[in-house]
Amino acid sequence: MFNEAELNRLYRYAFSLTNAEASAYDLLQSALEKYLRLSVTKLSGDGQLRYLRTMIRNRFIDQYRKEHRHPHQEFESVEALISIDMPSPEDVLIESEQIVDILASLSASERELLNLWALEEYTAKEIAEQLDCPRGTVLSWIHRLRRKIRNMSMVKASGEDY
Amino acid sequence: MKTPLNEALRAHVDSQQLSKIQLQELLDLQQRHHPADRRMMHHGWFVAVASSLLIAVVVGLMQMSPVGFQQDLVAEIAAEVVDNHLHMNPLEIEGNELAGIRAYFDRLDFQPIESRYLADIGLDLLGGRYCSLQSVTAAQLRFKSLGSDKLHTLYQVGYDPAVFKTLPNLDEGDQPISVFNKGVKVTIWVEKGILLALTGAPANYSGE
Repeated sequence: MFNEAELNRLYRYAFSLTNAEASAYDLLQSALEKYLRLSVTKLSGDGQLRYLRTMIRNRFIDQYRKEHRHPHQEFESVEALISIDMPSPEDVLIESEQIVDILASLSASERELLNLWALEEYTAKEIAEQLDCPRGTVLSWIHRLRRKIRNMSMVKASGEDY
Repeated sequence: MKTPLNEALRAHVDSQQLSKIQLQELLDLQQRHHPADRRMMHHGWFVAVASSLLIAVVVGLMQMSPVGFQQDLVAEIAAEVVDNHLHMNPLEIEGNELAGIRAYFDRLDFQPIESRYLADIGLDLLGGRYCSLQSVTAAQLRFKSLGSDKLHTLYQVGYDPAVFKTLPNLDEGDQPISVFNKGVKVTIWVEKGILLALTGAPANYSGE
């Protein structure tokens, strides 16, 4: 059984994918129903959270693939950067009120990555395991994401629209 | 005043909470799915044994036929896969490592994957070619059993529920379906968003 804190954590993850409250709840509710039917009980607490998070992600991809190609596909052609280090989200400075606009302008896969990197604070290796891709690719995505957010922040500071 | 990204994000996301009603719905949902636990607490071993027997019967029935999935579709996929398998058309690219031949399949809208369910079977990759499955462009990979000359064909195609409807998804805990066509066993499953179909999986293959 997931407690209230865990359910809220999963809801925020679903929200990072959908960026819409109603869709996030529907996504969580349907994934939880499927999860409960499977009776996944052998995993540890964190393992169960990860399992359900994967189910939420797969469900999101299934639901949206037809309308929007899986957002990560555009990333997969990017050559992996193997030797760079994991950047820290603390190094990116923004105006607090900018976060809503930033989230709205990111794609679903970018919001998901932002959630795992800046909020859940997983390492590149852990993110790579969850997204099933090489660590170097995750680092490449994060560097792109960081650059994009910095650009948005600078554009906003200069008074332009994104 | 500028704020670190993670702090701004956390402050924003912390405001995203399930409402009390939504939380209660999800807690109730979990509670409804655990009635067996409560019954076992009250009725002891009898219910536990009866439940186990029922599960065994259901699992047995599911192994006999692809109950719950698209039987017609499964049969169609199996027929197409077996036809192609028996033709043994020439490989367009040869290689023993998927990573080495993956670049060849740049006309696909997905990347062929290393299936975790094939990891323990002991198959040597020989190469691959383009083909189609249900009119969708697919990768056809050919393998040879370790220690024998038996050939296996593995099809991989992007899983589109609109085309392939509901098929067992390993990532959601389902088990592969196995059916026979023209004497050839075909095992079908979805994994990492890819539909896979393997001919001639060995008897000890997972999910059988």
